[in-house]
Formats: sequence, structure tokens, C-alpha cells
Amino acid sequence: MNRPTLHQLHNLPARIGRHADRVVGVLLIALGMLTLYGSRNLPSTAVSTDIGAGAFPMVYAGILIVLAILLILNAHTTPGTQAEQNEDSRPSLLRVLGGGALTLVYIISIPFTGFPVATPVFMFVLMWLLGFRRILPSLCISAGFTAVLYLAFEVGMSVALPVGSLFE
Amino acid sequence: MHGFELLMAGFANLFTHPQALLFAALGTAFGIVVGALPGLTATMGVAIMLPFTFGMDPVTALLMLAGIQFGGVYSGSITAILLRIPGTPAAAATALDGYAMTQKGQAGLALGTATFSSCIGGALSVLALIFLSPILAGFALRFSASETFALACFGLSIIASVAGESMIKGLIAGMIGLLVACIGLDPIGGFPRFTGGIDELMDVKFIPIMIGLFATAEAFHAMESTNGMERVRATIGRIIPPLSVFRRLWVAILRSTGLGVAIGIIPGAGSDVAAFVCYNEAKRFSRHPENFGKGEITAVASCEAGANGCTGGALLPMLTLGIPGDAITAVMLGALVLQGLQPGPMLFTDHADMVYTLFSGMLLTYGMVLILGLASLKIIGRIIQIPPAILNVGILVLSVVGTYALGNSMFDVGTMFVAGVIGYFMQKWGYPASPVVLALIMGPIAESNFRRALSLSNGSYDFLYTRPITAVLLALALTTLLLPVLRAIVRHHRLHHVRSATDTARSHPDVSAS
Repeated sequence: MNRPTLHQLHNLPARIGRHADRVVGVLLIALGMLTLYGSRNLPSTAVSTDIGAGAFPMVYAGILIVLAILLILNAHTTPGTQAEQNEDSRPSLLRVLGGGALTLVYIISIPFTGFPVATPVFMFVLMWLLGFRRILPSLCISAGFTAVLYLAFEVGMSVALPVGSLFE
Repeated sequence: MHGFELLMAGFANLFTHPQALLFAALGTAFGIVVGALPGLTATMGVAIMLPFTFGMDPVTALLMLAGIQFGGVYSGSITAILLRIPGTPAAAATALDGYAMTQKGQAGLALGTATFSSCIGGALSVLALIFLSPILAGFALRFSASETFALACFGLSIIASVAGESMIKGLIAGMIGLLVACIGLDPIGGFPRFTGGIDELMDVKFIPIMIGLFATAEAFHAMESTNGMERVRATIGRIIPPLSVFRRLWVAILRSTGLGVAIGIIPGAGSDVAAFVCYNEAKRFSRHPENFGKGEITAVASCEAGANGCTGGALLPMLTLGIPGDAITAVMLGALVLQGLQPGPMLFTDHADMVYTLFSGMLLTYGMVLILGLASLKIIGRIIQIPPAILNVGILVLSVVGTYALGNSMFDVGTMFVAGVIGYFMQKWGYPASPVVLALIMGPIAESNFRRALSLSNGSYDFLYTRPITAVLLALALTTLLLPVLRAIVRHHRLHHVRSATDTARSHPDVSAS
């Protein structure tokens, strides 16, 4: 396989954009088919005039498939979607993935460790990841914001925030 | 005028019982804060404060709740304009042009316009409520399932107007929204659809998805930047719009207020529907529709006037007929019942003085929204100058807490996260988020009312063309959908022609372009 020419590298964002369109298009067709399959047996109510629970989803799925086909057909004519993916693209994607994974971990851990514990930890780690490296101010902000939210929701609005199964 | 005298008596009444005004101010302040915070909505604010009103007298209770509603519906636009994160669903329409204005350095103008438009629209809608109740109440009664279906179709057709650069991607986003709205219990028969046996999927809530699509996705998007600690240098600048701007806007504001009141009166359609319809109509009547989506101030004014115009309108069927106009008025209906009052025609005869005291209080409350709103903009201006590394983490945590507070459900938080991830990639690959919002709001309304109308007409489809309001709305929906689509197709072909012409010129330099 030839090494990519300089021209091809410069065009990478556009090519990723077109590629993404085609992949998304195929995925959407699959989604549409799946929906059609899942809707075919949905029951109707006893009222004889009812078109059934599956009618609207099937219409939506049908339109979606048509649109997805149009998307794929148009993909070769679309100019690149994101021009900001230049030299910075790989580290920024890692940052987003890291942030997203951290958020997921935070959400999953709340039922176990409780809101008052998980939140400051999450905030401190994520702020550090995003560039806020001053330890003491970061700790203060994390703890402080959590405390404010806790007071506002638990005390002020009587919303019971999760305590965490480890502490119950 | 009888109504005018009662109104003056109402004002007098209020000044002898200032505590009602105090609680209205507190409610307004609370509403502004709640509405502005991503993750919390005006409806949530009203619902949370409802139990606290039990010990209050009716006017105080309702004024406080009204303050929360008015303030909340307005302030959703603040973060929508500054951060592209709508604080309430209605603000999703404002975010379209509001954020574009911020990017052009006109944040202050956008915010000021939003504030004034909200208050003018809201105050006018309260006046409509006061003086036009008997006439307008009849309008609410003419809306049956068939008309509501047609209105929802019209709302869905607006997807074509907010699709942005790529019509196909906009329509796809709308379709996905419609399919997601189908997950859960079927609205007529209650059968589970696409739940795969997972109980929680029987009730996929709209708000977590909206929070995820906008707030969480924006936070993820902001993480891309390497300048996490750089202070945002964008200042708010001048807030109060100059008179010349107002001269251009007052037609749009009046029109949007009228539309907002009308949509508010229709049971089941609320501020979110009103905001998008007003956006669409403003674009239709504008001399420069191509500017919409790129920072057109008329769009911001229209959306806000419409959304707040809806507040007075929604109270109308609630007070006169006992039919709530939207979710918030449904909560307020609960407050009335808590107070031992029965909404309906008797309310105006048996408790006329209380009702008119309430109306005069609402007018004053919109004055409070104006003052407190403008004051809050200064504070908000400082908040957005917090470095993104800190601000976005705060937004993420708020999204999580706010979503959890909706229904004490971590599943909702999970929904929000998934929506956030999808929203991030949608943004990356050019799929607009507003069609999804429109679809999630209008889809269920369309389906349930269509099937209901069908059974009301005994299986005959003639309600689609025999009922005048339905036919008009459906025709409107068709034009609203097709015109932008046709325009997009023409634009696409023109671009294609230009590109193939330049390609031909490049490969055959001696052939002259004709």
C-alpha cells in the first residue's frame, strides 16, 4: 500500500467526513430495518378502527431508510464536515474520550459511593485532565460546589440525592 | 370597561397585601436561577415549590408559582444564547440564532433583546388573558384530537426550517427523534414498544435527552480545546438594545406574542411549541430569511416573545375551563385545587376579586422579570468568564444532578449520558439537534391525536380534509415542509452545476465557459 501523499493527508478531514456519512448511512438503514422488523407484530387495541401501535414507527422507519440512502448517495459530493480537525485532532479526541469515560465512571459509581463522595472526586480529576492543575484551589472548588449543590437540592428542594450503597 | 375596573381594584388589593408581591419576587428570582441552570427547567421549579404553597393564601401561592414560571421560561434563553445550552426546551429555538449572535460578539444585544421581548410578550399575554378571556375560551373548545394532530404535524414540519446546512441530515435527525419518542408505552393502547423487556425503557423521558443533547454534548465538545484554562475574553457588552433595534423588532414581537397566546390556549401545546412556531413564522415573514440561523436578532426576539406569550395563553383555558394549557399550568391547576378553588367559569363569578388581583399581580411579576432579569445578566456575565476547564465540569455535574432530581432515577442520568455521546457525534458530523427536540415534543402528540381522531371518526380519514382548522394547519405543514426542501434541492443542483463547470474548465482550459 502506498504511503499517503501530502495532498491526501491535507484532505483527511474531508475524507473522514464523507466516510462518516457513509458509515452513518449504513447504520441508519440497519436501524430502520430493525425497527420495521420490531414493529410488524405490535398489537392494536380492541377498537377496530385503530391502526395499531406499529403503524407510526413503520412509517418513520421507512422514511429514515429513504433518507439514509440519500445520505449515502450524497456523501461523495459533500465537502468535508469538520475543518477543525487539523494537527490537534488526536490529542483532543483522547481528551474527549477520557472525559467521557470519566463521566461514565462517575455516573456508574454514584449508586455505590453516593453523590457527596463521587462528585468532588470526579470534579477534581476531570478539571485536572482539562488543564486546571492547581491542587488546592481545585480541591476547594470541587468540595465547595458539591456542598452547594447538596444544600440546594437536599435541603432546599427536598430532593434525596443518592447516599451510596457502601454507606447505607 | 368592567374588566378594567376590576383590574384597578386588583392592584389596590395587592398593595394592601404586599406579601404576595414579595413571594412573587422570590418566585421570579428562583425561576430565573432554575431556568438558567442547565439540567433544571421551569416546570421542575414549579413542581418542586408546589408543596410549599400549601400554607399560603391563593393569590400569594399562584403569584409565586407564576413568578417561577415567567422567570424560568425567560431565563432558559440566557444559557441558550451564551453557551448554546438551552435552560428550558423553549429556549432550544432561541439557541439557534442567539448563540450565533454571541459568536459574532453580540451577546449583550441578544440577551437584552431576549429580556425585553420576553417581558413584553408575557405582559401582553396577561393583558389578553384579562380582557379577552370570554372570546378566547371558545377557541380552546374548538380544538379536538384532529386539530391537535394537525398542529403537531405543523410543528414537525418546522424541522425543515431548522435543519441548517444539510437538509438530509436535519430530516434524519428528526426521524431519529420520532423513533426515540416511540420507545416506551404506546400512547393509545399502553403496549410496550421497543423496550426489549427492560422496565425502565417504558418511560424514556424527554428532558434527560434534551439535557444530554445540548448541555452534556457541549461539555464534551468543549473538552476538545487545549485552552481549558484560558479565560473567556468575550464580554457581554451593551445589554439594553438601542431604540433603532426596537423599531425593527416590534412587529415580530407583536406577531409572536399573538401566536404564543394562541398556542398557549391550545391544550397540550406549550412554550416549546410556541417558540419554534414563532421562529418559523419570523423566518417566513422576514425580508432576509437566509440570515436565520446565522445570528438574526428578529429570531431571538420572536422566540422569546412567543414562549412568554404562551404563559398567559396557557393560563386561559386553565382558569376558564379547568383544562391546563401546558405542563406548568397543570401544576398550577394542582395548586388551585390544593387551595380549595375550582377552576372554571364559576371561578370568575364567585371569586372575581381574587382572580383580578392575581392578574394584576402577574403584570407586576413581568415587571419583576424585567428588573431581576437585567440584574442577573451582570452576574451571569461574570460566570461565563470562568475558565472552560472548570465551567464545563460544573455543567456536567449540574446535568447529572438536575436529571436525577427529575425522577430520582439513575436511569434518566444514563439516558442523558447516552444522549450526550450521541449529541457530541451529531455535532461533529453536522446533524442539528433542534429537529430531535421538535420530534420528541411533537411526535407523541401527533401519533396519539391521530389515532384518537381516527377512532372518533369511526375509522374514516376524512377528518383530514373536512374539518377547516385541521385542513388549514395540514396545508400549512405541507408548505412549511416542502418549501425549504425544494430550496435545498435547487441549491444542491446549482452547487453541483458550478462544480462540474469549474472541473470542466480546469481540465479544458481552452474551452471558454459559457
